[in-house]
Amino acid sequence: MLRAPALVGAAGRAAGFRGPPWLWVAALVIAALFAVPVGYLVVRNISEGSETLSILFSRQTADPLANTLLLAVTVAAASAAVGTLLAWLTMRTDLPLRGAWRVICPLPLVLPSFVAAAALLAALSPGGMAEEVLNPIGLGAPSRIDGFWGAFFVLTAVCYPYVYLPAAARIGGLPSSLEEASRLLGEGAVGTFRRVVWPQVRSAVQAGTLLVFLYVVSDFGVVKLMGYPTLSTSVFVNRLYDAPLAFSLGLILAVVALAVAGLERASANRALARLAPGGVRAQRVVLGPWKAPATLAALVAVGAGLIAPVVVLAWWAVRGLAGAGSGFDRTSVDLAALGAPALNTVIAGVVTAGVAVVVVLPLAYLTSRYGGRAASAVHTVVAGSFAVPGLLIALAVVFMALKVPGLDFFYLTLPLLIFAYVVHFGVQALRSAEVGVATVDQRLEEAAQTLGAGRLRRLLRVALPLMAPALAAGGGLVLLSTMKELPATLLASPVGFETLATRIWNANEDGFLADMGLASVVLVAVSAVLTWLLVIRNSEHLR
Amino acid sequence: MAAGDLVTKNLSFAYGDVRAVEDASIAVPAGTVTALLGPSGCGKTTLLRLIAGLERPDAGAIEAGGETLSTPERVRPPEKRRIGMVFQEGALFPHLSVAENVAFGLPRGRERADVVEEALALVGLAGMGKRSPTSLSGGQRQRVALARALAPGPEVLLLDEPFANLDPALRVELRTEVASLLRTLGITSVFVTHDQEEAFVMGAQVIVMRDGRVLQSASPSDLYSRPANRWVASFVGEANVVPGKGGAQAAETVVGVVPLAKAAPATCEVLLRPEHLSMESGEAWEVEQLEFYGHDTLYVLRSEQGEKLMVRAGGAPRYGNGDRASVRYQGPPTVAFEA
Repeated sequence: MLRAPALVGAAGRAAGFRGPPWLWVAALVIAALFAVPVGYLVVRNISEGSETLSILFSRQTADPLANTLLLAVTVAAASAAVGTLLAWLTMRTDLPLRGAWRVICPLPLVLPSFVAAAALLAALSPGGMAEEVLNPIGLGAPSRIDGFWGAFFVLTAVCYPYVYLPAAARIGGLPSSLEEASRLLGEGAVGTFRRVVWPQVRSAVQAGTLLVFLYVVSDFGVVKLMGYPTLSTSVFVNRLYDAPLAFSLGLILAVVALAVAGLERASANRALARLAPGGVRAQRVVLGPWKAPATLAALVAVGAGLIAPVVVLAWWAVRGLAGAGSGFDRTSVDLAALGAPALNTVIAGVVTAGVAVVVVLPLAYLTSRYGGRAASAVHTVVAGSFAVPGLLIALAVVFMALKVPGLDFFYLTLPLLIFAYVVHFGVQALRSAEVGVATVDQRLEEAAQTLGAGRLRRLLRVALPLMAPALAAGGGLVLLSTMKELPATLLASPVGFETLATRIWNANEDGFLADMGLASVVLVAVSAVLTWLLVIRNSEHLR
Repeated sequence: MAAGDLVTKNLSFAYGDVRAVEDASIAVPAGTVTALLGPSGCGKTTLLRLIAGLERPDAGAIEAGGETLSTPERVRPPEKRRIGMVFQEGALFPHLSVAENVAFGLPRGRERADVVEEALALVGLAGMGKRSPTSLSGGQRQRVALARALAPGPEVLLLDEPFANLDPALRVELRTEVASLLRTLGITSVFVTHDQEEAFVMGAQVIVMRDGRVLQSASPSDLYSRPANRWVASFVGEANVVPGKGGAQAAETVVGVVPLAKAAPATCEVLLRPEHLSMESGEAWEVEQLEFYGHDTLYVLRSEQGEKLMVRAGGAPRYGNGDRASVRYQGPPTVAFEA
């Protein structure tokens, strides 16, 4: 039997505005707010006029742009290779301890990339761990890694899980009968992967690779620490004394990010049939003599992305707590000093998560219950704000507060920071909320209606309790991202409002490595708990 | 909503370009059960949703006890109608217990727990209040759904194929129970089904719908013996529709003269129910196929001119495949349709 939602009338129907008008008013206002930062970026550039054009075609732009693209493309490619290889190894071979690897492989997600970079540099610094470990056995400390290779190495190590997770989930969901048929038809393990598995997994890998690309394009901390000038560092450096340049560079950065995101969306083949799980357990590819190299590869990936940085940071933290001197002004630290930044991190994160969930809920209702072209346009605006680097969103809102009359009230306030966070990370809450709305059978709301429940009571008693798990998961993802976000926090935080991320950054800049290590360990610990609860535990590849 | 007849007047509704209900006028007498019968996609569920106030009509009106509930301009919201509804598969709130589900539509107060227990006892689930809906069987879930809809004391009860997803034995048991419960309570009810048997068992009145239109409203026996057209005749039971020469009180057909309930045109089609035909020794028809059902036997007969006829006779088969017989009409006055 046909079942259609209430419609807003023939005219609205034609334009794709399905759903109640009040919901549309709310959604359009929210979408407009999400579009504000990028809109301001564009307006600023247009109002600068000819100057913008001269900047766009100058060396000042070309060099950082080339660097950004080089780094993003190489890291994305390397992450795709590493992530896909690990996914195949853990899901389809007889790799020893597969179950454990499935849990461990996504774990580098818990490390903010700038923390990993800082750890690497700290280990190699004079008086650092590398020196202390290597000197006694007669080896000199290795030379500093920095520049392109440093950034490439760190970013790949922390980004490959963005490919690993979707690829592993897709491989795990493939009916094993497909691969069995291929083997029976005479194809080997590698050929089966190439001709049967890969075509099915490709779109998942592609989506993950896009996330890596966007991550690298928007990364500020790693490239800054590694001394590799990209668009984002140039924007950051120039924002104070050459704002027009910063805005032009920012516009290019936003265009690069949005263009790549748009291209991926257009080319993606998301129409893969949802395949039924293939009953029997998958045939395992026997690695044989490849077992040792495969294990080593997994160890290197996880070691670089997780174990090494955490060990280095813990080493500094322990030294700091023990109060041992090592040639720095301040090496002893106390945990209590971290109280305020930790509290600020939690406050900013929790408020952002709460606001994001509330704000995206009307959008989720529109997109998942009513659909239509207009609703998917709203979704695109919110999703696009995630592709735009947080640095730019923060830059735009801060300058708006400074320059637009009447908004100076918000300049460097907590609401401004939270606004930037919500715009940047809102889509994470939106996706979960859409899932949540879809789980509420519309008939349940109708049943409540026939039992005399008005709109508010239906929301509170029926819809919200049923959506709660999905909304909490979405809020949790936003909280996690907010905690790890560095550049937006650096730019838009109120004066004196220190979070764990900014404290790590400042301590590192000032050379207080013990301080940095301790704050990092705290941040990583909290982030690890959240990542486990929200990302890894719920991931399909563990089923 | 005041107690009284439930009436829809020339109701129309479309989903986009799909006309789901067209010019539907029905009347449900107060205190009785009406079955809305039709094949899937005929608009019966949509008509029910219009009555519930879950959809806004494009044209027409819905009235109850003289009060207007729905017009294209104004729809009294479902929560203000005092209409109870039992959904397909129950639509129980999965996060609430059985008792909390039943209490959902009740005002807060001291009597609430008593009303809940009473409603559960009414549907044979006394003492099950603490259970979770997910722990119940399909039949129990529908009982809870019924208790939930009845608890607030609605003036009209709507049931949307409530037994469709139960296994056959349970379906028969539950519908007998629900039918007698609704009759005892004397509550004005509208019941949607695609099952002719269910409609006849449950409904004091049966309304047949097809392609969004109401074809006929009548008591089950009238519907069966005097269907409005050929399609209704076949939909509500087995039917032979044979060409005939009509008259004021009878028609000439392949089985001889058949009495008519009302006059028919000279060229017409006459309805012959298989159980109203009887077989005697003769040569006109040959048994082509037979099915023995225990209480009776269905014969499919073929004439030399190729005409086909179904005959239902009580008891075990008395003829075999290939046997020949003649056929006579032995039923009450029947109806003829324009050819």
